[in-house]
This record gives sequence, structure tokens and C-alpha cells, in this order.
Amino acid sequence: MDMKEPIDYKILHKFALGKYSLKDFKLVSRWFEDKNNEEDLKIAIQQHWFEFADDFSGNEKDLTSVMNQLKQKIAKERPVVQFRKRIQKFYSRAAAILLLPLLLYSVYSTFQKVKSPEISALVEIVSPHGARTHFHLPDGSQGWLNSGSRLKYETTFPENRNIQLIGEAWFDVTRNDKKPFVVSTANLDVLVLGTKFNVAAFPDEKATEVVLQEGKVKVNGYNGTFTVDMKPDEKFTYNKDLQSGTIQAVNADQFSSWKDGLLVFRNEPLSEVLKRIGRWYNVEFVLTDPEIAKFRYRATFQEEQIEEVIRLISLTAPIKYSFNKREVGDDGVFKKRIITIQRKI
Amino acid sequence: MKNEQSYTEQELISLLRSGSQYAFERLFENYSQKLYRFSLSYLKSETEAEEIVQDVFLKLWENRDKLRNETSFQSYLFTIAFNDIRKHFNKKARDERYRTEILDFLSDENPSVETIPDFETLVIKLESLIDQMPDRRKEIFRKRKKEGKAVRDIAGEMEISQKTVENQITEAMNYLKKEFGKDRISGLLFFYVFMD
Repeated sequence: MDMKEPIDYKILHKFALGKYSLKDFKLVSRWFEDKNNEEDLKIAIQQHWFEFADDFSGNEKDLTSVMNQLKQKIAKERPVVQFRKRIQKFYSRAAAILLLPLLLYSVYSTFQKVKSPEISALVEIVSPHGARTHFHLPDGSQGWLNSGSRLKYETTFPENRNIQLIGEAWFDVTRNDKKPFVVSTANLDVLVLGTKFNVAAFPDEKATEVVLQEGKVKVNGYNGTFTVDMKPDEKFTYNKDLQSGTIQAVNADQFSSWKDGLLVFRNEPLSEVLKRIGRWYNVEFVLTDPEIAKFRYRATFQEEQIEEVIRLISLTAPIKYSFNKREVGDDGVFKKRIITIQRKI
Repeated sequence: MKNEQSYTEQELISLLRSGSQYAFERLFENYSQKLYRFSLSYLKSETEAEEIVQDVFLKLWENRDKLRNETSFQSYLFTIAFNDIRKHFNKKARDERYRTEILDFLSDENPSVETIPDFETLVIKLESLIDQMPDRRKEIFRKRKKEGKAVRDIAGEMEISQKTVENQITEAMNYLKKEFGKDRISGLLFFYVFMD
């Protein structure tokens, strides 16, 4: 039978409402089964979809188990590592390990239960350029300090657990409701009870970023300029020039992947990619054409040399690059390496 | 439900495109109830409606980088749901076919079987009547009608004559005809209405 059967919207609707006869059911089944009818059926059912109520307050079906199953399935999905695949194919030579020996000031020794008078000392942890440093704090909290960053705190944590941060760090804070944990940066404080989060506050960058992975934090601007309560998977960006901040939903793991030695980019513009690569490898980029900053990238790098990373980035966009000769500054020390990125013509 | 940090749908979709699980959960909150009820209205099964919700949102996540701002999100969601619902529906209709055929046959005797606007109750009634048949008859009837086996094969399997198989089926059909007769059916449907 190649003649199409017209779809009776009224019968379809009755069927959906549960008021239908055997005759109606046979018709509806035919409409569904007949391939020739697919478009007409879709139009009729779509009309029903748009008329369908979307407020079920008070009569909601509990779908949390569906969401939980979805979360599990999503978690299993590994990020696509396009660049790494390419490396494994063509360049299976071993990549140099970037991670330098950790520079860690052990503070455990100072955290012996000394009876009064308590000896308090100011401790500073420095993570040099190109290194990531794992640190432990006297209260049991721990974390990672990114390349070119430093942390300062008083060993005894007299009142608050107060940490000063310049640069970027990821914290896993031990819960203690009596002693709030406060991370102070140049522009804002992050107030914590117990949680996991990432703070990036580099003095040479306009923005200070806080990304919350778990728990709850409060971000306070200085002099009461603003207070923000953050929820997991949110990123708060404070712009020091505009003196204002915005909240954005993100995948928080991505912002702390640096602590595991990964550089992860998900649909991010080249400008952002280069900013983070520059921080990681302590190099500076010069873009000769502002348009190329808009190219978007999706990539994961793990322990690659800077030359390889830049080469891979240039493969997927019409750009070329050149490493400038390193200059020696007035103090006799090598300056940051500068890499120029141009549009390929 | 709105709070100061709520996003527009466009913003949520851009966030989802960049892989935000937060945005994914918000979109689930906004549309899962509608999707569930809608699927339920065509599939008449809570489990299957939940499966549709899960499948549709999983597909949404897996294809998040293909999302376009230009097409309406609701239309996009509908298209995924429609294909899924259609697949489930056709499978269900195939499973239901033997019941439909029996009822079809019964409507020759009593035309109201075809037009009573309560197909679902008729099916429940049919199943409970089959269930009340003597065990042997029930077994033969199911093999023939539900599994579609040939009379000869059933006879071989059960080590009985083909004539016995045919007789049992005729008996079963006569019994159903009687139960689905004009005076009985109205009473039974009436009973179900009160049960609700």
C-alpha cells in the first residue's frame, strides 16, 4: 500500500490522553509504523509537544535516579584527546617530563603539638616557573601550587586559617566550622568551611578567578564591595579594571587539571589557550593579528615540551609561529622566551 | 524557581556546548518533567518513559558540540524524543499485535469491542480471562496466538494430536467470545471504572 493515510490529529490526541478504542489504536499503530508517514506523524506529534503543559508543580515525577544514572554515564565518557592521539601515532618518542622536582617546605615538623607559648612562624611556599608544588597545611588541608605562584601563612593559624596567595592554587580544605579558612588575594578573599576549589590571582593579569569544585565558598571583595556565594561548578571572575565580577557555570575539574599535569582546553579561544600555556611554560606570546585570537581549540596536553605544544596548535589553524632569541635583561638574567604567532597566508 | 544566578536558555545552551555539567543539570530540571509526561502519554509505561528521558538527555550530552543557537532547543529536544518514542512504540505495538488480533476477531461478534473508548481495559480483561483458562488450554492458546506457532508444531511439542490442539483453541475462542459478548462487556468495563 503506497498511499499515505492522513493523520487525524484528534484521534492521536485522544490516544495520548488514554481515551481510545481498539480501532483508534490500530490507526495510531499504522501511522507510527508506516515509513511513508514519518514526516506527517512528526508534525502532528510536534504540535502536541508544543501544546503540552510544562508546569507539573506539586505533581512532579521523581526523576533523581534518572539523573544519577546520567551522571555516571557522563563521568565514564573520557575527554577526547585529539592531539594526544596524533602524538601517539606519529611521535611516539617519549616526551620530556615537565614536572620538576617538587619544591616543598615541609611544615609538618613545625606542627608538633607544642604547649604554650606556641611558636608561630611565617611560612612561604614557592612554586617556581615550570613546576607544580604539592603542599600540606598545619590543619590537614592540602593542595597544589601552580607554576610561578606563592603561598604565605602563619604556622599556628591563631584565629582564622589565613592564607595569602599570589598566583594560582588548588585547595582541598579540611572542614572546621570554628576556624574559617580564608584565601586572600590582591583583590578579594575567598571564605571557606571545607571544600575543594581553585583560585587564580596572578598580579600581571586583569582577572582573578575562583572555581568551586565541591562544597560552598563565599567570595568577598575588599571594603565590602561585593559578596558572592558560590555553588559547585561555578567560576567567579573578578575584573580588576572594571571592579566587578561575573559568575559562569563551568566544568570545575577542567580548571584544576593542571595539578594532575594536564593542560585541558574545551572549545576555548586561542587567546585563553596561549595565556594558560604561557603561564605553564613561562613564555610570552605575541599575536600579530587579533583575529587569530578567536580560533577555538579543544585539546589536552600532558607533559609535552613547549615546542611540541605550539607545533600541534599551529597544525589545526592557519597560523605559523617563531621562537624569538632569548634576550638577557639588565640584571644579566635571561628574560622570558617570546613566541610570535602569525596568520599563515 | 528563579534566583539571581539563573541563566537564560541561550546561555545554558552555550555553556552546555562547552561541556558544562551544571548547564546540563539545569536543562534536565527544566525539561525532564515535560519529556517524561509526554513520553508516558504515548508509551503508557512509566519505565519506558523514564528510559526515554535518560536516552534523550544522554544523546543531548553526547552531541552537545553540535547544538546550534539558531534552532529552538525545544524542537531539537523533540526531534531526539520523537525518534526514540517511535522506536519504542513500534516495538510495543508488535508485542501487542496478538492481543489486537484476538480482539479484532472478537469484534466480529460484538462490534462494540472495536469502538469502546477504553482499549487499555479491554486488554487487561483479555489477559485476565486467558489467565483463568485451564492450564493446558492456556498453554496451547498462548503458543498458538502469542508465539505464533503452527498447530502441528504444538502437537509435536506437547505430544498430543493436532485435533486436540485445534479443539482447545476453538474452546478458548468460544469462551472469550462469550465473555466479550454484548451483555457482559458493558458490565465489566463499568466495574473497572469504579476500580479507578
